[in-house]
Amino acid sequence: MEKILEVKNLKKHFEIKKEGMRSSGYHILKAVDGVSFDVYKGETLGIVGESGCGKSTLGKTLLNLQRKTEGEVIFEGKDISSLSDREMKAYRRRMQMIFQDPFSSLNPRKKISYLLTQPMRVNGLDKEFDLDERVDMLLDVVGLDRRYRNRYPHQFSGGQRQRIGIARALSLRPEFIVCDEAVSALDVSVQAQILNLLMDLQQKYGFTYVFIAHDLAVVELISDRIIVMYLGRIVEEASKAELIGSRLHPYTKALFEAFPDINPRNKREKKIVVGDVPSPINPPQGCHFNPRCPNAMPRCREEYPPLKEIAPGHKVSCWLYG
Amino acid sequence: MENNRFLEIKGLNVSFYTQKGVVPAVRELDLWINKGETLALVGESGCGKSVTASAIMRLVPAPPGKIESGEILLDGKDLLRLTEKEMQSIRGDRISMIFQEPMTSLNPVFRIGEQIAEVFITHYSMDKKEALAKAVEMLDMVKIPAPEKRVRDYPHQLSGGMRQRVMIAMALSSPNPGLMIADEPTTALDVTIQAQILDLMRELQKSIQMSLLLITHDMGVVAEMANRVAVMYAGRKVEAGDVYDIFENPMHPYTVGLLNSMPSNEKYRHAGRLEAIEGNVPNLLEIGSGCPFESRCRYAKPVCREKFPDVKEAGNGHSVWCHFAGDIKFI
Repeated sequence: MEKILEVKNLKKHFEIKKEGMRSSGYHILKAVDGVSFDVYKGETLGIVGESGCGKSTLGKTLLNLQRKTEGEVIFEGKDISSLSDREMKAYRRRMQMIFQDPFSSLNPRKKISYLLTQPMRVNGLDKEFDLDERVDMLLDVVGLDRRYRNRYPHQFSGGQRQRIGIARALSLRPEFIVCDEAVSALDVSVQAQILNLLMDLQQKYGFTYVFIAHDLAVVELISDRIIVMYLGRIVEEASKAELIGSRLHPYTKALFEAFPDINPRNKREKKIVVGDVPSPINPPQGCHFNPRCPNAMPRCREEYPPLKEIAPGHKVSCWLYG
Repeated sequence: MENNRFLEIKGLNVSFYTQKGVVPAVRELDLWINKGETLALVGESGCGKSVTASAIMRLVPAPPGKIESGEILLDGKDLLRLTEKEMQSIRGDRISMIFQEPMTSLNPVFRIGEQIAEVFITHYSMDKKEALAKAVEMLDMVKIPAPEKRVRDYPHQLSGGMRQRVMIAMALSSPNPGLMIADEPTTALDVTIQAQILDLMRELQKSIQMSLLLITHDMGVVAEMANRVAVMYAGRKVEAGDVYDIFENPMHPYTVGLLNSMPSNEKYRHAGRLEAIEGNVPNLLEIGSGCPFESRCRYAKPVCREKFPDVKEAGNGHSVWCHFAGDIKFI
């Protein structure tokens, strides 16, 4: 399989000013703290984790929408994370992002036809394409009525707005798309439509997706491979089948078990993890999961375990496995 | 079984008078909750589930909201006929409520201990010291670690899960907790925290024999928590019954669609398209007298547009409001 993206030891740290009026120091928040993985052409790589695990920061840093602190993001042999904004522009066309609610990024005073063609105008493609025709085509592709071209953003429902967000991302014919909680704000019946649409578009145009979400079921449905993150780091990476069949990391297990089953006869009996996700400003020493882990050993409190490949394509970062 | 009912809603109609017209948020709703059971009220945005909860608490904002007709019976008394003062003694005593985002219901400038203690001062006429000791006890009951330290915290010092525990502690502090209404109590929480809160609610409910009205859009949470389920769509109850009947033998096309839309549905586990419901939730302003699901229903016939169906009973308290319930073969 051909790699489209290679991420090497990527870090994104933020400086947070200490509380209190007189204090002048900074805390370092390690939102993404040394993450390495590959993305293959045409696949969907799911990234799942709870709040504060760094998944959204990772998504933005991948597209250089946010400057990395350290590491590399290699797209077709070029480290795009070091490019200037001007140099990055050529890549922006090919790498797009779909957000949770596109409403906040749609100018409320512009018609849909304008909003859909804005990316093409910004990128100087308005001469290359017949814009009117492109609007019709984009509306068709995402399943919206062509007559909607003259409407304004507020006239659409949440699901329709997400279709507009997708159409905008598609308008530049990208190859690589990061979806950040793209269906989280939608009602389930509408969420299912959008998931189907994303899967259909991938089949038709061969997109590569990095699909970031907190909802395990959604990630499980759409992904070929899945990365599980906890407090800025990858704890497990595996193909979907492997993760469903033999997940290894205690956090991955807890996450899967905590997810409510829709079979009322499978009511969860077992108590799972205890406690809250710790603050990423001051993560626990050693393995970040150790205070909540049912299998924690003395070593876990001292050393962070390396991400180790223990079966082809299946990596886990846990002292239980090496 | 009649006298086992803790709360009963009969023919409830709630409307909102907006500039664009009258929005019928809840129509002809009948609902009851037995003592000690969990009833899940499930549906998507705009189905009327939260408005129903507000109506029970008599907290529908008026105007623009108005309870047009109906009865809400608690111990044979119609809550809709009580004076505001009488209602205040019911709120927080017989019926308490917790919400999706506890931060908005906690006062940010008071310590959480003081806020819980207030319940004891109001309802039990305790002095402050006694009440604070009770607050520590309550925090311990909802499994907040180091409760004697935590009572001194302000809401912003707690995590989302902890704040929800505080809300539950307050809800349970009343002298006669009979019913807890939980409106999307875990929607804003991470899934491992959600599991902890659901466990806690289930445990406490068992130990004090309280009824729980759980309002949610998440069928997974319903499957895990509910004894009975009522499915609402665009202001109407469309199906109700025992949790096993609803999940294993759903009879309304909307319930079937909702279950099929769940990505966690086992049959999609190894990829494949979901069977989505086409179209969008209808605008309540434009809803006619027929079945509100008609415009999205693949089994709809002309009669569905004209008339809201009469109830069909399938036994074991399983009721469906669909003209063709029982005749449709779902794929």
